[in-house]
Amino acid sequence: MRYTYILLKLIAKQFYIQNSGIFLLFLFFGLGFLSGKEHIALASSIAQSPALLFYIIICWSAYLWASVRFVQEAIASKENLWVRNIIFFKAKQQWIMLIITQIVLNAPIIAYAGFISIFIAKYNQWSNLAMLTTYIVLSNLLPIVFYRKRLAAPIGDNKSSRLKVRANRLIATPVWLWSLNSLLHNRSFLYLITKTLSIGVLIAFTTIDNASVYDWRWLSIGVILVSMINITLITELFNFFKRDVPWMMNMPLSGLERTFIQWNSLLLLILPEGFVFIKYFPKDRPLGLFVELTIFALSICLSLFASFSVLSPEADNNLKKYFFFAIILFLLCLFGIPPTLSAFLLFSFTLTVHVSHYKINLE
Amino acid sequence: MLSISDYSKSYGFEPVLDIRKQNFPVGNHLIQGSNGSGKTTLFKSIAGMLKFDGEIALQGEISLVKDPVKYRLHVSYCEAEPRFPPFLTAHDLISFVAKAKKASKQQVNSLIEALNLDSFIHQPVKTYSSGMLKKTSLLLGFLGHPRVILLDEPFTTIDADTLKSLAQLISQHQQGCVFLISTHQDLKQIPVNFKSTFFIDNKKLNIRS
Repeated sequence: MRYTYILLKLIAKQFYIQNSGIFLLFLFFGLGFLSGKEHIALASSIAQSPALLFYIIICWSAYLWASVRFVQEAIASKENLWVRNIIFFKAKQQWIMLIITQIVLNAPIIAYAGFISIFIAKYNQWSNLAMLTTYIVLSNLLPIVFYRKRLAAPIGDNKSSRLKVRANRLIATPVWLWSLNSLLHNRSFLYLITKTLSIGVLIAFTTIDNASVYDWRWLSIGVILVSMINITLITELFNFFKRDVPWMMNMPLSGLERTFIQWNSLLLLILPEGFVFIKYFPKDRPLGLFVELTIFALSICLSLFASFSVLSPEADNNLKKYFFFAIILFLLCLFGIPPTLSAFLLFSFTLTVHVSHYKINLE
Repeated sequence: MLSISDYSKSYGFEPVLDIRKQNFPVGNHLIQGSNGSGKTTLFKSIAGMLKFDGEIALQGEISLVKDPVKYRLHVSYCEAEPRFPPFLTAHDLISFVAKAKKASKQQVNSLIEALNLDSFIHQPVKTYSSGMLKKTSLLLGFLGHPRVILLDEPFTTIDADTLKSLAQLISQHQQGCVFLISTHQDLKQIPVNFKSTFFIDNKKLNIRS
């Protein structure tokens, strides 16, 4: 038990400390915005609808992914090399220690799943209960298999990095691909996960869209979500320009020219979503809406990028700020402000920040 | 006892180290080389912490590639600049690693006494000096029944008494253990006898007479 406690202190406690901001936000929204009756109504709806339960499971999976990634980083970090000795414990002990850690990490999911399962039992939705139970069991067991594999293997991966370097060498020559090249080379996993998530959301919104039921706001909300999901990659791009190519500052380029070099990388970044949007854009919607929403998405990404020039991407309270930013965009959308107008405002903000930021730096 | 064959390690396209065949018998071996020559890379590869091409095996039977867990149980690595979670104590770390590596209580106590960890073992790591961190790391390295101990710059940051104790520990273990030790210090100041000296130069490991 003592060793499990050390592991909990090292991993679970640190996970909750590092993510305390987001947990507080959820608690705030959970307790502040929804009354007890609304919580029960929501849980009853989820209990009776496999589709809703499925969406909840997708949200939980995002959380699960974050926790697994945290553990993976923890066991590979330089200061935790000693914890890799866990692999020498007896297999049964390893499983117990790691499962307890994973259960503590998954505690919010398990607690809410327990709450929903009361209503599932009440409405005799046994298939939903089976789905929920299977998910909870797998979400606690599968990560252990993954962790044990990771703990037994060396930390670095020589072969994959060679492949990455080879692939990057092929595309790295033109300057306009540097940022994307760096992103693919250093954060390929993050790129794949983010793109999978954002494209998944985009496909879901365009597929579910029904012009006779929803107006343009439905797709606008989808576009806001897709753009906000890309914030992780936009942060990486910003860091690339700030840390990896600071010498660009000394090049004889105007603020406007520098701005366009950076914007180009954002255009490349959301190109995959662009293709998906063209392919899945509902046929019963006007083409004008497609153009409007594309500009809207671009303006959100650009303003996120520009905002890092004002706020440091490492600042502690950024998550809260960007969460409120997304909420404001949602509200503007819900109140019927056309995406073009929002895009125009965001675009003006972006251009002002970019140009003034570079002028200040050059001076 | 420790054999390396067809070893090569690259970072990306940049080859760092290439060893065709090298055996390290039981005893102390000194590994030298300029900064960035690849000493730490070699140590990390032998410790099973870095991927590489080739084969590293213990007594020709326990292969790092084929049976990494069994191999790693017998190999300890002490880093040049060890780091530990600031909120844990040396006692937490030692008890965890001792349990994992099946070290007896007696061994733990004698190592604590030898390296003089008594005074700070229950303090959190954040209060440690670099010497205290080094002592903790060295103790973890000697726990269990290692057959290979890799000591990366073990003589830096420790006081004269600990240096003597460490030399004594090395001489106690050298009968059944391979020690690979890297250091930039003057060998006259180090009370350890080396069986052989190797020099990493131009990405090759060369023996020095």
